[in-house]
Amino acid sequence: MKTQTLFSRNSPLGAPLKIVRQTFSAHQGKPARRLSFVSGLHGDEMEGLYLCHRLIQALRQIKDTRPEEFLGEVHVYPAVNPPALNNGSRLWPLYGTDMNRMMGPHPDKSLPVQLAQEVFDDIQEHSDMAVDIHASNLHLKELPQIRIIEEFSEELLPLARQTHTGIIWIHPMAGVFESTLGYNLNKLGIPTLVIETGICLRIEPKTVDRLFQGIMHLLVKQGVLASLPEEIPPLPDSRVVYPREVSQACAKHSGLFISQASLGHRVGEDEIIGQVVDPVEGVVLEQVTAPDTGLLFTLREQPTVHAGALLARVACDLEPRP
Amino acid sequence: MKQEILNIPTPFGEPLVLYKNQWGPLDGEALSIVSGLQGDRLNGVMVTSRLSRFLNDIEAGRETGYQIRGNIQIFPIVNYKAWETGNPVWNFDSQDADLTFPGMEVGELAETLCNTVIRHTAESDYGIVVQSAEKHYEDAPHVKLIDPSRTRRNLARSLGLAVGREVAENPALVLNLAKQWDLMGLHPFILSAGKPQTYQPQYCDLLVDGIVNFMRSQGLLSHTREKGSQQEMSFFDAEHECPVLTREAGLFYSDIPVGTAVDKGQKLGEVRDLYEGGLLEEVTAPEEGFVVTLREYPMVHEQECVAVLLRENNRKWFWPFG
Ligand SMILES: [Zn+2]
Repeated sequence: MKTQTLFSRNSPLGAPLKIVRQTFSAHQGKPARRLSFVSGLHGDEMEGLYLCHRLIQALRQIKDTRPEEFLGEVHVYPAVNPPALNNGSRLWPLYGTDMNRMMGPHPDKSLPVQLAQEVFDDIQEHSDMAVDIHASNLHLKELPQIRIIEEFSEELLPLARQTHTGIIWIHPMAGVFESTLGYNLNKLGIPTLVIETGICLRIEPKTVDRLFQGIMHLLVKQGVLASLPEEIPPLPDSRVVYPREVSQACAKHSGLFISQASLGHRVGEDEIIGQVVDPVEGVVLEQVTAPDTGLLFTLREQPTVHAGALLARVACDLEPRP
Repeated sequence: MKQEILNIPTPFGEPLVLYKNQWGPLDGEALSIVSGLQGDRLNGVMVTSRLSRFLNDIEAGRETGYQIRGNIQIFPIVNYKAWETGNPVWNFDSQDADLTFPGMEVGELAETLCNTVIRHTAESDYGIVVQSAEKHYEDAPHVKLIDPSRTRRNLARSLGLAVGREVAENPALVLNLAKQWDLMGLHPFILSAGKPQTYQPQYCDLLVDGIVNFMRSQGLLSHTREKGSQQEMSFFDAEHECPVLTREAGLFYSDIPVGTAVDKGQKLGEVRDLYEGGLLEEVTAPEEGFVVTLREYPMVHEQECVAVLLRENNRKWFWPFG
């Protein structure tokens, strides 16, 4: 494994601001394919960091014992936003900037933009394919899923299937994606999968283990590794969810959402999944029901809600309604 | 007159109410003015508050000679929750309102707030956002234009500011209010002056006078004797902006006020060591130009942007010779 610093700036306080890339090169000659894994763009999303740890640990062991297994090249960018990671916040605290809203061609020369651009350029230079790993935000808990913008689905869906991630959600384009790492790499022809899982500021080791196993499958299917390590089991296929197969429940009232459902369980249409209550008056404002029959794959975790807030998403069982 | 445009209950207390002020006939030329997108940009809120007082005075007959001819709307506060905290964004969602447009009618609070403003301004002919520089910087008063056609540059001249500047394209621009207005067919203008968290009366005077002049020039206001006038304005395109970066990390002491015209090689400031105070670097202007933005916050990294120069030699358009 080779550790390289791709970004470094001296700080007024002393320790420089640094970003590293860990590289596992091909055993012989030109790499068959180069895959990159990125995590920590949002500093409160920890699952990706642990996933990178699992990956680096496993790849290092293979490199030490069976280096000939490496037909391709792997780059891991485990912590690309150190100021936010050290602060446990989504945004870079000193500037209040979201690093995943600064990707793509940007005329500005502020420090956050410099960092975003140099990370982006480095990934672009070193990758034939990339995986950008996110946890959810403070509010919603997510089943492990790969999110694909509709316009890239033809190319990305077969690749996403190779990861055996529980859910692959193909969703419509929105303006908010235009400045993200995933969208801009895909636009440049570097197929990039975006993983969303769990909730921020927490790590669920079992979920990460399962994602890690999926990544190992991907590395073999992509011809980066010659064979699957013995300890990696076969995995079930992903459920692909198309845009019209997602139904969501939103709060009609402002209050506290008290969940009565479990993420990853099946729910029936109109089944009660929670309540919104008014803690000041001691009244129940609404019973929240499942918007459809299917798999509950997003669930509100932060209870404070304003009317309109998303409470749950269900991947519907039935054919989409006309 | 002050009107509620959104009234949404909050989980634990009083409802959140968003207001606009509206004057004049609904069928005339229409102007919307928005401040308060970030919860610490005081100059904008002071400007819109003073404009509201002035327009109320006209309506009440206390400003002799003036008449309101067009439909004028003012939206003083957008990111209400951020204003409660005094931070640019509300910590609950880490969401910059000016990266949330067009928002959604039913969605998370920030989406709903932004969408309310979009719906209420959609029929306007002109839109003005009043703000100040980004965190840690100070702006000389200037007007920013998206897609600066000749028509828009002409309109901008009646805003009474000496400097106009093109907004450079970037992938996140589509999430800005001004860009959404542009896409909806309004002529958008962004007025920026001063720094966050500070009320700077001289800048506010300039912006208030400028906006009143704009209203007179576009026939939104009439006066028995005075007409709106078009001012001299230097216009600078985006590609010729010159960011000035530090070489060293330390404390930046600026030698000049923002808004100064500097010669090539002129000293802009110096960087001194934080611990021992020794001189590390003299920062000089790489080009002749107008200092439109200057670093306020002294702590700087290596390659930190401490000033933005608008280059005189690329001045494209100069009234009355344009
Ligand atoms: Zn994220």
